[in-house]
Amino acid sequence: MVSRLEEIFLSVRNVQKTYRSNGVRALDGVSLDTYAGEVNVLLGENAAGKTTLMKIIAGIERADDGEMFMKGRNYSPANPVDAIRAGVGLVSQKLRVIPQLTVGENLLLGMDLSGFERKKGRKTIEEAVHRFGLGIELPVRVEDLSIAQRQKVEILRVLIRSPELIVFDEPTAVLPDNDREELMNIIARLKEGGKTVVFITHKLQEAYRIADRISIMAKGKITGTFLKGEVTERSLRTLVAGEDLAASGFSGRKTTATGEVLRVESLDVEGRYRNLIAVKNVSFVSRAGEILVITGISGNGQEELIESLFGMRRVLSGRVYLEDTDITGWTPADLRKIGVVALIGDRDTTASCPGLSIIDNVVLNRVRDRFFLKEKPLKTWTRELLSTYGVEYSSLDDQAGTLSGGNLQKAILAREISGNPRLILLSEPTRGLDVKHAGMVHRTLLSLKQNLSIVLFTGDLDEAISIADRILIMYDGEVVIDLPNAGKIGRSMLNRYLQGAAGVEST
Amino acid sequence: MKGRAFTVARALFTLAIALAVGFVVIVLTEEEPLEATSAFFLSVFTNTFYFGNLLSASIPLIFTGLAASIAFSSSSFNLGLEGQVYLGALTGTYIGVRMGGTSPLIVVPVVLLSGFLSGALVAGISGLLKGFRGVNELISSLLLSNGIVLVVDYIIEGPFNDRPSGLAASTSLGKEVILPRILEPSSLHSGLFLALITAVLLWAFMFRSRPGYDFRVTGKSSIFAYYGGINVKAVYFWSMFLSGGLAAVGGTVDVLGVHGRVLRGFSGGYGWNGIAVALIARNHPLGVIPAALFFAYLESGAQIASFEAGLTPEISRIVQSVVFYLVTAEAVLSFMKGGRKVD
Repeated sequence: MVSRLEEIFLSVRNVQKTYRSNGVRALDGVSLDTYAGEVNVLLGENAAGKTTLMKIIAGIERADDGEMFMKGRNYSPANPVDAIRAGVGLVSQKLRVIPQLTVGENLLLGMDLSGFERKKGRKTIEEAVHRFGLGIELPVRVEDLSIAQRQKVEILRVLIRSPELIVFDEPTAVLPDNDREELMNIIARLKEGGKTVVFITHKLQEAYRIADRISIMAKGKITGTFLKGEVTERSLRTLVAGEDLAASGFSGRKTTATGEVLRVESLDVEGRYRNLIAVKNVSFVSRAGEILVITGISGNGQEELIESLFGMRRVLSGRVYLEDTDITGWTPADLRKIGVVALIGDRDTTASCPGLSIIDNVVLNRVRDRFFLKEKPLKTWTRELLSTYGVEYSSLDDQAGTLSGGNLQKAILAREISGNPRLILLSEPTRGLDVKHAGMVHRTLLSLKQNLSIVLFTGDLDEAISIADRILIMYDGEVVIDLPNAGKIGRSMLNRYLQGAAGVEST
Repeated sequence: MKGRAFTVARALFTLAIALAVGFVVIVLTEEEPLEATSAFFLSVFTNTFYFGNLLSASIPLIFTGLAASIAFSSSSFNLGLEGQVYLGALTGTYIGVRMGGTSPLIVVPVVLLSGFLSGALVAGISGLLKGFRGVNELISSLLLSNGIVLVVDYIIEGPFNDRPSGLAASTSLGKEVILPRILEPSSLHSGLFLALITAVLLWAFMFRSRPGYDFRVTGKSSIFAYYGGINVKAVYFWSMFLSGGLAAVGGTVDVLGVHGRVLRGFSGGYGWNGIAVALIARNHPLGVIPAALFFAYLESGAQIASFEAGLTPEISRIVQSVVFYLVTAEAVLSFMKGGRKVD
């Protein structure tokens, strides 16, 4: 596994960074060595400074102090172009693709071609698609792709430039299980090809699997670096979270399901293109006191399903009932009035507004039933809510776009849960959260479920198994399995259904 | 707080650069640059007549600036301000003339209200078309406005013309309904207070009321607003309605305070300049007041310099545009932010 470790490819020395806009000290003297040809995994909690460090390496931000060396030579990129020329590619956490363009056009962007070279560009792209086999089609518009598929476009765009050092900033956060597998393979292949990889993740399991070296980061510093052989997965868990979370797992599930809350009957939902049906004849029931997990490989209709349940996508046929009320095709405004809330998968444009202040993002439900808004009580309420959920921010008036991914996630989740809903629809509620905070969200949901019904969409099978009372799997727009999560369900079995390899089963 | 101080400092710095560039233009083109410069930038403060006229000129700009800012911050692009100004002026005048003889305490509010409604309804059409038919409000409001200007011209030269005067103007309102003058002999009138109060009310509406919150959220992201339970179509309608109404009141107040009737071309671009004012103010209702004053200051400076120092109107225009261009230039501002690009 460990090869060519003799040469340091990128050396970061005592780098410091304080954000001027909000005074947050993101990096407090980071030193990190990455050896040529290895996979260096950077683990750490939310807001530990991982993304900031990557931005400095990729030339997006500049360090206040400290030095970087690439292959022994001074490396200080003034902008992303410098970094790209030096052979650094960043697959960023936030997707930087243009939705209105096709996949092919997005890939052509930034390829530095003159008008006559488009053909050449296309050829390069086709070769890359072939080589990395990500299974994406070039003429499709990016806005018609799922988040996971967009992520692949982003990855491909970086790989096309054949960088020497590839930085992945939590690329698996939005990828479901088998896409993640594909990514692991890609990384393995990159390593075989002599490339160096820095990989940021929250997921200890996958970190442990692909890493040659694991660096742990906390509060703007590297707190430990280990070669893979030196640590176990379990000891990593403790090192990252700072407390022994492995011991505080869930003590079995108590299903206390009572009355029906949500009933979906033979639902057909329009897909991203006209004449495409994304959800086909889906029926299920969700009860108070239970968490229903809907899982599947992304792009099998889950996003369309949650959007249609929350009035954001056209229902072609079928009915949706909340208790005895027919809520088929209701708008989000009407649904929120009767206690239905949702966290839609697309965080940056739908579930939050990065250009609005943090407080304006959070008080969305809170202000609905009044005319005059009193600033002080609203601020107090928001502060309390955010501190309950451990959201770190510097000022409520800062734009929501200044929050780190994990903090934004916690803030909007807090917003949705805050209004005493009867039904919560959640898409990937722990995406981008570290072990500690994901655990916190799970505990919150488990404590909430007594009085309401939770429908949770996730691509993460471990999450599904650990929290669900019922598991429902979607494949190609249909429900292929709908089972209580009672011991007999295992990963391998679920995986078969995920792939659509088994027939339809239900109890 | 630190951020706010920085923003103000930045605005003042830009202003200083802008004035310096204006000075350079004058130096390059005039024989007696010092005299021309002082006429342009300083004369306005030397007597109450000039100064009163400056304040007077800012009144309709405050209204149209507010109209533009409320529309823009709700992402409703009301480009029909000019037509709404004319319509408000005509409707107000007509109602005022028909009510002749009634107590001004009744006439003035009714005139203002009818002016408001006329512009609001016309702009509201564009808002409805946007919400229910997906018609681009930018185009529909502009086209409606262009038509309205011509129709108003026809009415004041035809059926509602003041024949004895021989002017392209409507019949005059009674003297008793004209708003009281301040700082005579300038044209400043008490409509200024109405403008200031309106700006404060609009600020409270945008930042301290739930409908205002809905406007702002929709303005930033209509998808997020819809997802969050905001009635986006209502926002499209009401923001256009309010915007159109405010622009129209700008016209009505100008009639009540200055002209006493509608004259052909009396606006001279209040609507379009209101858009510029909103741009300088960054769509902030309170920012509209200094922005409108600044715009009026440049207008007055240009006028005064042409008849006091013989600065040719073209050069006046150039100085005005240079200063204005720099103040609105987003590029300068974001450059000064430190050249930092976020994501």
